[in-house]
Amino acid sequence: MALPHQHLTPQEVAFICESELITIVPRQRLGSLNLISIDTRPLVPPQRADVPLWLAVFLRKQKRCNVVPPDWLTVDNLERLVKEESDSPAFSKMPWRWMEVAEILLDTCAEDLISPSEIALHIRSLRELRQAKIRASLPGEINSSYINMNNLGLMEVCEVRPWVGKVVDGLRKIEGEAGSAAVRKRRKEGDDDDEDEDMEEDY
Amino acid sequence: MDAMDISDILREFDAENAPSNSKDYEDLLKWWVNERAAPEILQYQDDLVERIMNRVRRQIEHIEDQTGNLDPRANFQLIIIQTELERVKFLIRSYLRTRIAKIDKHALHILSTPTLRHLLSPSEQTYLKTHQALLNELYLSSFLKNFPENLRRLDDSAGGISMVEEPDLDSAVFLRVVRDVDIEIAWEGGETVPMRAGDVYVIRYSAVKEAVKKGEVELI
Repeated sequence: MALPHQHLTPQEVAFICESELITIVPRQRLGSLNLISIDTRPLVPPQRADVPLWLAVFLRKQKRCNVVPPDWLTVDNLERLVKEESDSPAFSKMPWRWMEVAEILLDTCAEDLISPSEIALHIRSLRELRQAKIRASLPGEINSSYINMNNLGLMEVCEVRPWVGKVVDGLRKIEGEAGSAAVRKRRKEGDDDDEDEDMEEDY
Repeated sequence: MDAMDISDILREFDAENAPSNSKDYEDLLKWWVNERAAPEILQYQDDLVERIMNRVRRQIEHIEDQTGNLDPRANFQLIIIQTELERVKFLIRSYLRTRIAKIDKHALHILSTPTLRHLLSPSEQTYLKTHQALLNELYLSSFLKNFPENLRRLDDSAGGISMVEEPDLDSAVFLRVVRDVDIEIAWEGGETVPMRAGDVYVIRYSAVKEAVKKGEVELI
C-alpha cells in the first residue's frame, strides 16, 4: 500500500479506472453476482452486459468473454484524433480515463480490438503529441492563482501534479499579494489568445 | 440484430435503476481520492463506511458458507467475490490510513480545534487522544524532563513561531468539476471563476473547500 501522504500513484489511478463499467459479450453463462460494489445481471451468451473493467479483464483472461471496445478506441477515430492533435495547439477532447482504459485493454484483450497494433501506435502518437504540448505550454500557463487544464486525462494530470503543485505553491509564497495583481494584468493582456483557444475547443 | 436491440434497451433500463450499492462504492472512491488530495482532514463518511463494512461482513460470511461447496461453478463465482472483496478492503484501508496519517501530522492542531475534532469518527478521536498522551509521556520521560520548566511545552508559540503544525489550506489542489459552479477567489480582488462540469483546474484549496464538501467538484 502506497504511503497515504503521497498523491495518487499510477497503480492507484489504474485501480480507480478498473471500477468503470465496460461492455462484454459473455461466452459462458454466469449466474448473477451480489458484489459489494455492484449486483451483476446473469451473463447469458451472446447478450451484451456491462461489468466493471476488472471483472471483464478477469473473465477475458479465462476466455469466458469478449470485450466490446469503447466507441472511441477504433483506428478511424484515433487517426482523426491524432490529426486534430497535431493540427491544433489546444488539447483535443479525450475521455477522462483514455490512457488507462487503452493501456488495460491493449494489455489484456488485444485480440478483441480491430487491428490492435495500429491502435497501440496511434495511442502512442497521441500520448507523445500531448506530452510535448504539455511540456511546451504548461510552463507559460503556470501562475499562483489558478490554471485551467481542460481536456487532460486523469493519468496525464497525475503525471504533472508533483511538479506543478510544488511550483504553484512556491510561486504563491514568493509572489504574495503584489504578485497576484501582476498575474491578473498578464491574464487581461492574454485575453485574445484565450478566446482563440475556446473556439478550437468547441469545434 | 433483434437480440442486440433488446439487450440495449435492457442496458438502458438498468442504468436508470442503478443499485445503490454502486453509488456507495463510487462515493467511497470519491471520498478516498478527496481525502488523499485535500490538505486538511475532511468529514468522516460515517454512514457510508458503515454500510460498506456491513456488506463486507456479509460477503465474508457468504464466502465462509460457500467454501465447502465443491460445485465448480459456485467455486468460480467465489473467486470473483473474493477478488472484489480484496479491492473493497484495499479501498477502506487506504481511506482510513490516509486519515490517520493526517491525524498524526496535525494532531495538536486537531486536538485544540473543536470544529475539526468533530470531523473525526469516535475511534479516530480515541486514537488521537491516546496516541498523543503516549507521545507526551514518552517525550517527557526521555528528554523533556531534563529541560527547564518553561521549555517543556509542545504547543509553544514563543518567538512568533507556533510549534503546532497546521495544514496549509492555500496549497494547490487539482480538481475536476462535477456540477457547474462559480468559484470566487479572494486573492484576485473578488474575481469569479466560472467552472463548468468536466473542467479540470489547479487552484488553492481554500477557494474550493466548500465546493468539495458539497460535491460540486472532486479533487484528483
